[in-house]
Amino acid sequence: MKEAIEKTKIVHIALAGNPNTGKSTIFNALTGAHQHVGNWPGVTVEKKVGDFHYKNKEFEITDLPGTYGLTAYSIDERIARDFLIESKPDVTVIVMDSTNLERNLYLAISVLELGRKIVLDLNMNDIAEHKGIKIDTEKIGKILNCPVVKTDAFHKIGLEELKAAILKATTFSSSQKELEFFVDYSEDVEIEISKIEKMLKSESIYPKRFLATRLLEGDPEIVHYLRQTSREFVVEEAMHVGRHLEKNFGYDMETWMIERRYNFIRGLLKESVKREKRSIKLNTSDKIDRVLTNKFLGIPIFLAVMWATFEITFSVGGWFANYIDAFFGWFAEVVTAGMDVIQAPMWLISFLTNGLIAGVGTVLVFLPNIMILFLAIAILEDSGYMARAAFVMDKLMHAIGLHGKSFIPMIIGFGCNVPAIMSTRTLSSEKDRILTILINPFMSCSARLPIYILFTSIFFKSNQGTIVFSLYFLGIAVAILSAKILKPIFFKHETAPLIMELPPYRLPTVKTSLIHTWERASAFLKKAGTVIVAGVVLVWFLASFPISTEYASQQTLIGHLGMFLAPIFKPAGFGFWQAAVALFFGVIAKETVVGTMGTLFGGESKLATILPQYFAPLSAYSFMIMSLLYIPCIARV
Amino acid sequence: MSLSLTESVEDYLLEIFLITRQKKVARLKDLAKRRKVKMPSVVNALRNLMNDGLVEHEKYGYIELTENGLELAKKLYERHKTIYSFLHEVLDVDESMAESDAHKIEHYLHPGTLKKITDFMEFVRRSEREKHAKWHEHFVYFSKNGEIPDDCDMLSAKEKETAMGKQKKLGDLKKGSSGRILSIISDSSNSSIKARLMSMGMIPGAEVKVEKIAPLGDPIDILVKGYHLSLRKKEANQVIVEKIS
Repeated sequence: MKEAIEKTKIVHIALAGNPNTGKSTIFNALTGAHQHVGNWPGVTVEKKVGDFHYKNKEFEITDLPGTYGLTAYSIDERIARDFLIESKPDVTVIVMDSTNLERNLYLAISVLELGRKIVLDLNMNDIAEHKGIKIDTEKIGKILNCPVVKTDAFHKIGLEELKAAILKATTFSSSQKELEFFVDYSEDVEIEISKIEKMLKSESIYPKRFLATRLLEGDPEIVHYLRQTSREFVVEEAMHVGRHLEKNFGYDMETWMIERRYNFIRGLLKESVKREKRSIKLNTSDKIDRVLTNKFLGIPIFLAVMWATFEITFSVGGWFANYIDAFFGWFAEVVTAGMDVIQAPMWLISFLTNGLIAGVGTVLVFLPNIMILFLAIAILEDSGYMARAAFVMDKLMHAIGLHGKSFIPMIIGFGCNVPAIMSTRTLSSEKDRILTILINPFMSCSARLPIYILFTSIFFKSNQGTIVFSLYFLGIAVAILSAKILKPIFFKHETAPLIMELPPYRLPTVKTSLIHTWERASAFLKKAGTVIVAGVVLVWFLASFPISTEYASQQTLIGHLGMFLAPIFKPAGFGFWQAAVALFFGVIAKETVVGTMGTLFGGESKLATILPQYFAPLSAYSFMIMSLLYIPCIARV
Repeated sequence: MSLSLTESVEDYLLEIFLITRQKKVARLKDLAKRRKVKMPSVVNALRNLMNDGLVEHEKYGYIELTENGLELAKKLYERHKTIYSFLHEVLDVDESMAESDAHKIEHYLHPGTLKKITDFMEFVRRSEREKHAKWHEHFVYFSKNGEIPDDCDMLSAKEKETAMGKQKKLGDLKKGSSGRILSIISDSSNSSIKARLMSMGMIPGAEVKVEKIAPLGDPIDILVKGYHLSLRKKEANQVIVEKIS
């Protein structure tokens, strides 16, 4: 009974931290499979929420975007700040890279200044120890008035201690003033801070000290907030005071305030961290970088990595795909046989086999390819190579008006445009994001892959990989061209700056990579399960009616539609009705193109023999190009 | 010919020069009026100048400079003009005060100091003309209002320093060299860059090292506070560093 009561009170936790600190590893380790992915309201930034039990209590944990601070300058930081303010989590866990406490503590201090209870999680402690960094957690805890734990999420060390610390933090009863904590901003500034605090009178949302300090720094969002709550005079006063102080300091306020925070951190570290002098040798990560971002080798290596990724996708994925294909063929036969036994009507059998099973099969056949591609991307991302790819390619991307980081959504766009568009959130400028989204459909997404695979496996058996690679390349070229054209039309301003951390190379954990793979693959499956199957069923319907006609013949509805559309495609070399229909349905989702063709030519297994009667290699290639470049799928829209 | 004349001799010489420029001829009484002294004093001073071979005094009270006297007077005039312009044009002292103070100061300045003042003024003029530096304008504003104007163009000031000393833009550092951050210039078109860089540890006093340059020449990879940060040269150039070895 007592247990049940305790369970009703859920402890809300927010997980904050710099990018590349192993935050998602910690999140996964704490919640396991108990997590769900959604979106933050209003923006396409992924929001992950999970839960776990500890000592008869239920904990709900929200993973905040990885940030370096809590300014209003990027969407991610704004989301994190708003969440901490509006949802008031009971405890905020700050995951830190133990090898780089100075920068990581800056975020911790920002969160403390927001008046939140925190737990400091010194992650990657093993690497820090290896580097000879000795951290006195007790001392840090005492100064910052919060529990501090060391973890090594990679090896699952310290997780129980982390949970205990979270529980302990909930019982910390500190006054608001203590929580707001203070970095001493120097006497002159402190006087002004307390003056502004008084002027703010009743303030229910933000801690007053936080407002006062950010106001002096000139944080645009805080200025906006105060103006909206008709406290313009406070803004005026702060601006006046700020100018006065700047004159005295010979420094701008923004620099002053940030510097004072870093000063505080330096003092804190001096007392709590000891560095053993170890011979400074080039660490492994730097050694790898010497090669991978080498002046001459950087770009060839990048291209090789991309090419290898696709080769693996095809060769290994194809092997699995054959078995799945065979299974569905067999399954359809079994169903047909079974239906015959119970004397089901012909149309029902046709619906199940030609419509439903063929539809689902179409989708699943390509699942292995897609999973492997996603896995490869996850490994590239988690290992830290993706940031290098952006580093190496930035100049090129910048030349076409995009951001080095736009490369990441573009690469993910090869998988599926939907998660790719979600990943554009890493771009801090709205304009870059929109442009990247606009040209993203030209990247050959995995949904087009089935089309390529089908056609290349029939027409270009000997050089399948190369032909597909050329299609990908063409997509990129068109994307670049349209970026060039669109950019000056829509956006006159320059692209966002590139300020990107190059994280140390890490061996990606199997679990994290698999989770990343699964997140994206399941997005694909969800889409496949709904839109695509519906599309295939619709095709079946159009292909079967009027009822007396032969399935998928020219006399059916679909035949008429195809005949109507076919002349349009004549110049491209495939002006016959089946191809036209297939492309037409591809608008619903690219995946259906192959499904439709399967249906129209009487079963997917027969495609290999039938298609050569209709297509020459050249027209097959142009068909693939057409699938690449025409209208994107509905799911994207 | 040395310039080791007494203060009053210098003043007389300069005065005669100025009068002859205005009226073609200088007379004893003009001189007495301008110097606000009695005639006998003027006569006495002229005698000294004549002894030094700097002026000729003919009958009817006309005074003329000798060739040597003219040459010397021109030098004195240049010196006066330099100090006057420094006071009036650079420090924004009003005309009459600048004129009278110039008279007082000019006798005591070491030629070396005078040379520096001349250089400084030349620098002010050229930086305004060639680099469109506004900092002199801002100084005038500052001395009038006691406030640094809002649009104070730090870049020009920095560029001046960069040109003069070992201050460099981060983007100009060579691969492998290090620097200490002196300041980060805010970019008027994108105010967030400065804040982002600083919250990531790029604060004045922090040491940075250019680790790598991308194969295509841009961006660059710098090591700051123990981690790698990749920046385009454009952004890196907003960071002013002092080169250290």
